[in-house]
Amino acid sequence: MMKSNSKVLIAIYFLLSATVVMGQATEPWVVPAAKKSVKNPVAVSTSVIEKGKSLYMANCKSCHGDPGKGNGLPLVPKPTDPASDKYQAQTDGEMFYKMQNGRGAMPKFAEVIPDNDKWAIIHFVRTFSKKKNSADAGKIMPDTLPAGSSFTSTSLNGKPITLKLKFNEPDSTLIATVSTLNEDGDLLPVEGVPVGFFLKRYFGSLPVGEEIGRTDKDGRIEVAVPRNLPGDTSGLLHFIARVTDPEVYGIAMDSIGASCGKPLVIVNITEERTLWGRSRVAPLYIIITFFGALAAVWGTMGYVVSNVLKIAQKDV
Amino acid sequence: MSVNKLSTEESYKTLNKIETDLLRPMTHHKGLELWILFLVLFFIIGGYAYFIQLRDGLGVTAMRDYTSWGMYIGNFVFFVAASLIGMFISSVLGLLKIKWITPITRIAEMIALAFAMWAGIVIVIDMGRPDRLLNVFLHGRFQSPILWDVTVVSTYVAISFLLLFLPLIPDAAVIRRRLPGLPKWQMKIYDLLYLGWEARPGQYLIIKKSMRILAILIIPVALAIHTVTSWLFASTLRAGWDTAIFGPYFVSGAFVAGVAAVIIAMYFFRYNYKLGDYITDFHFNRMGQVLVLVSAIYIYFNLNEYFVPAYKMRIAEKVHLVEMFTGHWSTLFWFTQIICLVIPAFLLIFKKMRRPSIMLWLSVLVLLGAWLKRFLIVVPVQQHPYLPIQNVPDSFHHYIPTGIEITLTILPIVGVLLIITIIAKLFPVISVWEVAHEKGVDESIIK
Ligand code: HEC
Repeated sequence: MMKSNSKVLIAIYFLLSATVVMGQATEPWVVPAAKKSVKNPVAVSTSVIEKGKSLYMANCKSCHGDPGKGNGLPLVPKPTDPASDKYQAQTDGEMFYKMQNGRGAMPKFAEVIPDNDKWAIIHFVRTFSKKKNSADAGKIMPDTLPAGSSFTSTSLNGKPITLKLKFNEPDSTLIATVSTLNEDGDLLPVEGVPVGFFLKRYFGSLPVGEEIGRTDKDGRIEVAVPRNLPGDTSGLLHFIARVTDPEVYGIAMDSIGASCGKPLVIVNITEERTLWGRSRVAPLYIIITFFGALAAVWGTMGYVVSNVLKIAQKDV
Repeated sequence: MSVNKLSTEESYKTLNKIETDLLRPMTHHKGLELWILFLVLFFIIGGYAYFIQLRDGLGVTAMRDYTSWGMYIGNFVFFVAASLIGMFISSVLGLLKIKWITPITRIAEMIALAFAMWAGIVIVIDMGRPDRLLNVFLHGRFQSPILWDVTVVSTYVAISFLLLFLPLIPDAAVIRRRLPGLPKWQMKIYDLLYLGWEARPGQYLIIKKSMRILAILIIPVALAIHTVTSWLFASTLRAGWDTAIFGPYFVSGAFVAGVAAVIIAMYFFRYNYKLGDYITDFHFNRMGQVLVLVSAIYIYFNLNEYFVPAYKMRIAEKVHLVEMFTGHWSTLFWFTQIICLVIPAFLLIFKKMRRPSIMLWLSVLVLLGAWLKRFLIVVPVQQHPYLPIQNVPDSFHHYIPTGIEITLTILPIVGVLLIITIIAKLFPVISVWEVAHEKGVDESIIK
């Protein structure tokens, strides 16, 4: 059901933006030189490529088609086939920038897909490249997001940076704490780090809170979680917090599951009594009419027959 | 019932003549064997065609993804339509106390029963896997017109059966008395049927009361059978089927087909069975008037059915209607509507035209038109789905019935003739006791 929702969204998005884009001449999509040379920081591995593939299938395929098959949507300009030479001629930085910002019918994925996941998509797309250029890739892991896990990575001033995410049940707030290790191995809070909070949805992530804030002197930042967010059947929601300026502060993120959502009540419409349902769930009035009419007609016929058989009796 | 009663002596004389006249065809039937042989021969051919269809599947027909309801379903609708006549003549006209129908009610009921029985079989012929018929009862959906259709057709067969055989009880007694020399197996049927009939007032009371109950009961059932049949179409969204008047449109069309069928049968029995004294010019005249009446109603429904959407010409309707009015189906359409409906109905307005010989041919035209009309209702609509099917062979877009299909469409018609032939051989086609009553014969001697 979720799946078809996202398809509807894509369709609406596509219709709206297609009307805007139609008729516009395609200008080359220029990416600033600094962004162009950004290297893919995520380490390449089979699991990363798998991750990228599933993200591509869920978020990109609807427009760009299956890589190498040229079966993308006939938009203007046409979403480039990722396996094409034109697409592969882009640097990783260019691809990232275009996904980040979007243009015309190409959606903006900046907040929708976590950065590391975007890099995973690029790794996947690169598997269709004729020359292998993953040698440049960095060493970190993408946001594979098993609930409750966090990781530490490239650092602030050479020191590793850590982000811990907690959920405070009573006042429904998410609290992130950013810290770094000193030489003695003690945790020190880091002030002024921009942290974004996101709610994991089927199609990308939803920002929590109005704007991205910065950690206070205790390395803390908190954001209120609206109550009544729709969750899964048990009301479970998955939140992510991450440092939103990794180039300055390094990459750090954490995720947490919290049962603070409104439990999703799955109404199984095939169990309701409907005209289009199975026989077992036929509307009662139809069943009553059917058997009522049948009983009335056959009952009358039975009455007539039993009467007629009386003709044979001597006393009539 | 009768107004002027005859004296006992006259009663015996009149009854004797009626019995002689009406029972004669049961023993004197030149050429009957030949006729039955012909029918059976066709049955063998049809049986072989059906064997091929069973063996190779429905692929031997011209039905494909576009036209998946073809000639068979058109035939089915026609059969259901024709079967409604039993209810119309003996029930509607009978309850209105219209006297002249007495000699033709049994003919109408024979036609009704034969067509209703075969309507069920026609549906089975339309199934590639007839062994799955049981699934309709095991897994049928109460919300689907299909289940209602199967139910109501079988119910109608049962009522028609009762309505035909109930009035045969006194006649069976008469046959036992008049024709004791008939073959043993045949006599067994009468022995079973006559139920010890002795023309006692109590027995008459039961017969008449039962017939009256059935006459009332059959009206809603007959309306249901053809309305449900029309809903098989009207409950879809297809342009051309998606109309609110399909129920009454089908029912009124059914009466046209049925009346024409009865006129043909009347003609046949009058001349072949030498029943000119009973089925008179007067009866033809009256049936001619009835045909005008039901045709006028049907023409009125046609006007609504075609004119209203044609005035608006919504895209999907337009595709369909243009094909009917001026396109691929136009010749057949106008032939059916004008030559087979409007013109015969118009001609029959004039008394001069309501003579048996002319009425026979006009009725044949009307009946042919009734069949073609069902074909035109079923087939053309399916060739313009809202969403065209992609990448299908060109042949899927057209529908030209195959030889096997045509054979298996004629087979049930032959089957109907066979059933009527058998009933007409075993029983008088005109009710002896009812005609005798009408002539004022003393009731108590009809046994
Ligand atoms: C709603 C349809 C749509 C979706 C979904 C979509 N794209 Fe696009 N994409 C486009 C269109 C249209 C263009 C061309 C935009 C232009 O040139 O103005 C495009 C262009 C691009 C480009 C630039 C290609 C070039 O040749 O300049 C990249 C890279 C890209 N998309 C990547 C992605 C990725 C990765 C995803 C999935 C995360 C994605 N797109 C999802 C429609 C889409």
